[in-house]
Amino acid sequence: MERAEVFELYRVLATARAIELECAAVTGHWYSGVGEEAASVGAFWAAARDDVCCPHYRCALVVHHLRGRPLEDIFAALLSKRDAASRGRHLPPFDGYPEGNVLPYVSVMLGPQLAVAAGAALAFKHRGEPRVAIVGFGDGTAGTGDFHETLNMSASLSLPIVFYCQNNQFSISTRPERTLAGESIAAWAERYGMPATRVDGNRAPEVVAAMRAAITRARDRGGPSCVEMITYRRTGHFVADPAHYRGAEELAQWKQRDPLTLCGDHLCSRHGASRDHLGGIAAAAEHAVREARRAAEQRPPWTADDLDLGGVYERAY
Amino acid sequence: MSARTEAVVGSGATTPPALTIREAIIAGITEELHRDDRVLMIGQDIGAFGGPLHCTAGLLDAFGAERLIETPICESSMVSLALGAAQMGLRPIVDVMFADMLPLAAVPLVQIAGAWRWVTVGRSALPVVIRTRGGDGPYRSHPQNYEAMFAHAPGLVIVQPSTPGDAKGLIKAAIRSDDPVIFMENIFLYNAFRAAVPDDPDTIVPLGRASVVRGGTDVTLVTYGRAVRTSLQAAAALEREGVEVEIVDLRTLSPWDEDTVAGSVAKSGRLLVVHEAWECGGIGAEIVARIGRRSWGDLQAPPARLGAPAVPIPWAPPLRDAMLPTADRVLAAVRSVLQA
Repeated sequence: MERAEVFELYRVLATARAIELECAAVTGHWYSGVGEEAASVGAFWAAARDDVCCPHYRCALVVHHLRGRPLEDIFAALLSKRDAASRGRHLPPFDGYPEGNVLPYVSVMLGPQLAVAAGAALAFKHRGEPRVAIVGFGDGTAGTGDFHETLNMSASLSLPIVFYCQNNQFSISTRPERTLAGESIAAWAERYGMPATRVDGNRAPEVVAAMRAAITRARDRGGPSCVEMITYRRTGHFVADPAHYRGAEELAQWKQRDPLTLCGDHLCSRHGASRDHLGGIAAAAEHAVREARRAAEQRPPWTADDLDLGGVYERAY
Repeated sequence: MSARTEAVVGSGATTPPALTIREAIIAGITEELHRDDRVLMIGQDIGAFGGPLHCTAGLLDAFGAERLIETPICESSMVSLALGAAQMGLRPIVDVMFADMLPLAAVPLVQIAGAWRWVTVGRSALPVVIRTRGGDGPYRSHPQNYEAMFAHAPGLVIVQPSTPGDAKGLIKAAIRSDDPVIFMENIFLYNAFRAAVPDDPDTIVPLGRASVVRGGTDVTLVTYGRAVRTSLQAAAALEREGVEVEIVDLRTLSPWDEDTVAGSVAKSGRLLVVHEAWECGGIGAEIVARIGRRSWGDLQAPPARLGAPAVPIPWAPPLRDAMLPTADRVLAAVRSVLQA
């Protein structure tokens, strides 16, 4: 990866971090992606503009933003203010950003989204378009029937899709080794007949490289692949969950492996970046996010009169 | 540990413990786990995490992982697993985190659990409880109210308590029942208030029996769950206008207590059904249709129902609030039934 591209990657990681921290400050119910930015950003870094994005819900808003969703719209939606594009009907990031080919999670159930993404890939293959679907899921979702069914179906139909597992080692409180019988999620994927790799999910350039290879393969009609990214959930399931079920030591170790720090180290050691310069990038990202929230807060809230009973069907009944 | 079974000792006069609905359900399950070693729980994050919304708090310490079996995310298979275990003599309680997830298990619930007893000509039964939580609440997530979807299926018993005493008595009855029971725990009510709960381990609230929670002669208001509280508020306001509303808390939504409802309508001549779930094809539609025919001669006005409008439940709190049967809307609906 060229120097300028790594700098840009760092800037987007910093934006992702700032978004996650700001959302966590808005609500204790936030499913935080702090510490998982490299997986989420890296998964979509090498995607083409018209590839379809189905990010894992943790740290997904940066993907919306990469695809053109204004930060202010993100916070307007989260704060349930007028006139967010999703009009108060769904909570970000589940509201998606269809304008940027980010599919919504209309149901927040885990699993169905995998085959929805495979369906998008089927459409691309059917029409002979060089487009790819990219879908994320967590280690918990790897235990669902949907995961196994969709990987099998995608491999047998040779669909242009990339599955990435944002393995943060927690399904709420449940550790993957307790409920997933396979040796790894990548190993499962491999047995469904697709190339699968395991990467350090906190090293963004490593994630980008693995995803770039998988996306290229899918675009070149080589069929699906799977990238398992090992990362770590640094908050509870949601911010207000004190996560008493895990040890402080493990958390401290993973904080040492912060994806921004690792990317910054890479920039300093390989590309001669200065800490001041990196600090400036992070500060600018934080400023942009804070300003977006402030602007969104100025907007009026939705009121009961805004409940629109139309638009459920194609025609009015 | 929330179950306060130790609270009542002493010389004669005892004070029953005051529990929330959540605590009362845990207390009921605790007693049944002690009473019957065939009872066990199957679910996600029901151990060290304490269950979604702390619905199993303390149970792991009290009963261990042998009685609280944690699974991957696989609702359909969790339910099917429980059905097989029930066939072989266990009495499983499956914890489906939220009612949003019930449709994931629709086939085992509707086509296996509901059908089993009849299809096997009563030669075998499925003593299974599906615990789940739903309805809008302070946490404003997982708001779905899918009771009508499952009430449509013969063979399933559907329960939703609105008080801690009923919650404990009904969960115990559900666990002891040989029919499959979907036990819906209302999120809004979950920790909203405490009330005295019988601590006698043999006290149960029978399935299929409604409760008249407020007497009145002018109009019968049939409801359940959170809407019971809303309806009580509306009734208090109407009382000041000289209108006496009788409120029937269904408690068991299917099969529901038609005799109690018809008895009340015989007295009042007017019927309104209120629920938070969608009005279209809802529990209210069924009650209005059945009572409309059975109590035709008693009715002085067309029976009515009040539920959510036919749009998906929106996220933004002000929009979601506009969907709910608030006390004001209940009031207006009662007035329209009185004036009809």
